[in-house]
Amino acid sequence: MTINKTIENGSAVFALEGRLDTNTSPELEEALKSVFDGISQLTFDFEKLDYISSAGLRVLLSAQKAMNGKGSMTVKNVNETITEIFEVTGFSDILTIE
Amino acid sequence: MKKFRKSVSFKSIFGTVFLLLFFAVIVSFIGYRGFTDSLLEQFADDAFHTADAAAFYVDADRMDEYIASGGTSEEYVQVYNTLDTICNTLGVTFIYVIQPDLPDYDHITFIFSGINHNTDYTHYDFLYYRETTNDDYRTKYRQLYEGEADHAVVVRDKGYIETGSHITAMIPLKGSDGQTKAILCVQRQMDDLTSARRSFINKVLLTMIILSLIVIAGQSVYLNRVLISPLHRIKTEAARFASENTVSENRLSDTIKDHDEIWELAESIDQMELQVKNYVEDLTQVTAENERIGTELTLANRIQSEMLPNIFPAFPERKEFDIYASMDPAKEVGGDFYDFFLLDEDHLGLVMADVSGKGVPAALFMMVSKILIQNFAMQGNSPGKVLEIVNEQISSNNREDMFVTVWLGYLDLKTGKIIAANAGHEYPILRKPDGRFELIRDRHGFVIGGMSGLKYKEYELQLVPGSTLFLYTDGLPEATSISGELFGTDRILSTLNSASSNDPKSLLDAIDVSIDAFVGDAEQFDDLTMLCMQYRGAAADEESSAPAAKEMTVAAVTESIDKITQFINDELAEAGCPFKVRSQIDVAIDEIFSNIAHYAYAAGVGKATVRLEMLEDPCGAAVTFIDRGKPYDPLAADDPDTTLSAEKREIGGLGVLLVKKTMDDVRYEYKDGQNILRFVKHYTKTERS
Repeated sequence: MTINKTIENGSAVFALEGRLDTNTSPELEEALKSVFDGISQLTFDFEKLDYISSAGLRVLLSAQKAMNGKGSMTVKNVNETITEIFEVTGFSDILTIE
Repeated sequence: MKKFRKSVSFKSIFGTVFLLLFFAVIVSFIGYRGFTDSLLEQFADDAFHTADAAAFYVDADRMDEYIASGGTSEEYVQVYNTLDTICNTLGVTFIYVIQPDLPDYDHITFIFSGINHNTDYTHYDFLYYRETTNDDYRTKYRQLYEGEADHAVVVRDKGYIETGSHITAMIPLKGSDGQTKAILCVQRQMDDLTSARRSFINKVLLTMIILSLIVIAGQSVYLNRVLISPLHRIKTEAARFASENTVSENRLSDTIKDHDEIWELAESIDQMELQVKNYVEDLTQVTAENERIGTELTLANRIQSEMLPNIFPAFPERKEFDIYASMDPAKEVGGDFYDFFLLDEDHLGLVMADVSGKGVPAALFMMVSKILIQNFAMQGNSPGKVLEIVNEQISSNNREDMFVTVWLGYLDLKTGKIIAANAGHEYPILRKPDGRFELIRDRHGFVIGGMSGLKYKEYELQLVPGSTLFLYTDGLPEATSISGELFGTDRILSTLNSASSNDPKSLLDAIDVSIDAFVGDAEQFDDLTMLCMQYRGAAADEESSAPAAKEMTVAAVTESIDKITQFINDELAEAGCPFKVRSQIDVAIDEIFSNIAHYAYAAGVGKATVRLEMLEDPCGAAVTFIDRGKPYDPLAADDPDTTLSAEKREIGGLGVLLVKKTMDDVRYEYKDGQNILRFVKHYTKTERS
């Protein structure tokens, strides 16, 4: 998985590419940790993300919890597979998906 | 100070001073006694001279007249005065003449008493009568009266004496009839003696103290020079050597002049340093040598295992058979080997062999045997003939008396017939498709290398499609548990018969797992080598045979997930499975396998097998996960509540939920010590791009 990270004026965009699974989730978690302080808007761009497993969902859930207090979090360009995963797990009700 | 009291100097000086004092006491005592005795003698002599002089003036025959005179007669007064004069001139304290009461001498009567005017003494009254002072006096009086002695001395210098310490010299005054009429006593003070003695003792003590101080000072300096200082140097050098581990440039023994015990100690330290240094150097060299041997053995092990066909599948283009083999030497290199090779288009040669002994000699012997067998087999000789020729070759030059047991068989891939010969090797194991694994009790020839001129009988085995042949070395049946029990062929058979899968690799894995569990912590004693070959029938039958399941066995760690995903994804893509379904299956693999990796075994010790079956009608794929970890059914837990808000959501159980929702069928069972989880996903094939 590749993480493309852009931070500007307190808003961060994480464009992910590949798979967000058991082995790659820790990478994203680590990358997120360093940016939570000082941002009010967090966007995930899933255009090039193939799929996401429950390990990835866990990272998204912690990110959402972290952002709830201080701003907003958005997930955009979600493919069909991932949309289904979000729906099955109820994540579509928690996340703001564009 | 405490440290000083524990030092050698202190102990030595203390000992010397103690000895000095001991001698001082003895010398003082002897000196004191001698001094006293000689002074007393002198005092006594003086007193007797005085007594003799005084006796001259006293007439013993006139004693009664002196008494009768009442102390006033001219004669009496004259004697009386003379005695006073003698006292004054000769320096004695007291001269007196007495008559004791006979016969018990308990009382005495003073007839004369002369005194020295320079003393506090006063004259006794005329005929003063009193008790005898003590037994000593009484005895002496008696001796003088009874003629037993002609003079006597009483010394009073012990305890408190009212009149001070003194000596009394006594002589008898005898009448003309020779009878003792009275006793004349001269008393002389001995204060001089006491003070002289005190001065003597003081001088001896003072001398001893000065002598002790000199000894302490002298011995300190001397000890420091010959003992303490060298010892300190030795201590410093020993400490230096312990921390630096280098031999000192200056020998320690050179710094000590006398060749005494200290020098010997220093010399020993010098020797020890040299020896330790040499020992360390030797050890370093030996260790380096060992490392070199270890490296070479590792290399030898690699060369040996690379000599054997070890890439599986070995003949992917051949559909008539599937083969898998493994070799696990007990030492770095072993004497067991398996081998297989195509003799021609239709014949497969199979070898299983075991060289006597282990380690490098066995490995060398094994290499030779392997090459010879293959070469003669490739030249078109029958199995029996090959063994015969190889035996001739090896026996002709086998001074070490090593030997090798060999099972050699040729499989006709078209008919399934095996022609085999056995040179003292373990019984092969065979299973027909509808039966169980059983030992083939074939006829053994003699081992190869034992003696020359032997023939080897051949026999036939008929395989049908689905038959499985299992070959092994004695390391398997003779694998030993901690309690000394052998694994035995019965356990091999039961393991093979209860294996969940029948492909060669799974069978070998099952044996591995079973032996590992059986042996436990016991050391692997013999090489473990085995080969399994499944005959699938002639190539023409391929179309009708069911598509085989593909599987891979990997370590149960999350790092294996990518490998599995890759493997299954490739197979599915090949089969025309759409991308979305592949993604869903990937997610499912990630969820299931990460569960196995995290929970099935203690950290990183187990393996898991993933099997993929392609389903037709309806089209789909089934993925099965098998692990031998602790029994755990991931499907048993309740599904998590997916309607809660982000703050209340827990992440547990989501993975399994995902698998359940995205796959068409998910099942779990625990069987034969294995967790088996299988899911099925149907899909519609897409055209391959």
